[in-house]
Amino acid sequence: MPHVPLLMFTNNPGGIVEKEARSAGISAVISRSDTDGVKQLLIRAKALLGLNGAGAQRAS
Amino acid sequence: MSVPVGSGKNDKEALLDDIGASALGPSPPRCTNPNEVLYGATRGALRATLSRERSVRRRPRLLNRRVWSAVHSYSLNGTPLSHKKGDGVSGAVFKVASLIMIVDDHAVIRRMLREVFEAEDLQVFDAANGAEGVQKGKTRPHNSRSVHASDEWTGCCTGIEGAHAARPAANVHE
Repeated sequence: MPHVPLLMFTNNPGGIVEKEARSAGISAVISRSDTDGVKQLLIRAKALLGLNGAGAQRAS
Repeated sequence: MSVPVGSGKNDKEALLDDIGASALGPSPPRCTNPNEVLYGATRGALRATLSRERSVRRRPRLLNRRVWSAVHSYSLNGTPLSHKKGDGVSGAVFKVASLIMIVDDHAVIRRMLREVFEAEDLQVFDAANGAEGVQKGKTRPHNSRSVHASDEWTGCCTGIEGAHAARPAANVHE
């Protein structure tokens, strides 16, 4: 499973969590408390899957 | 595409071996000029490729409109189907599934996210904690179209610990 992209959808997207997440190979940390958190998660997932019409893009 | 000199075969046979006679279909007409053979062979290979292209683009009779639409949109988004060996000619085309794995200890969150992803025609499977997620990730098929969405805290281990377990440190990209 080393090449499967990972997304973190969390309540606490603090600086430390985000840094740790990146070191663990997580592509993006998305805040669950944001009003459009689910939408952001969906957009990121589709981008990683290459389903946004522009090919797969690594979320930064 | 060089013609070997001094071999037992004549130029035409050597060239056909080099190109691959299967790409040509029926035997090309006899001629003695290697340039003509080369031209004929190239033209034949091109014709075979175009024929494959057409058979892929044309909706196979056995596929209904909805399936063909999905396959065609995949071919536009992903790898062109016509460039893959074995497809098109027989009308057998396959769509690579896009997989999402959701790891969260809250069943309500898992169900909500499942509905969101399934509404986008994505294939979803889920796990209640990191260990189960890693286990399922190893046993379930995954491919270039897989994404795992994880919670920070998943009961037995954190999402970050799960991420570390899911991929060896050597393969982590930052």
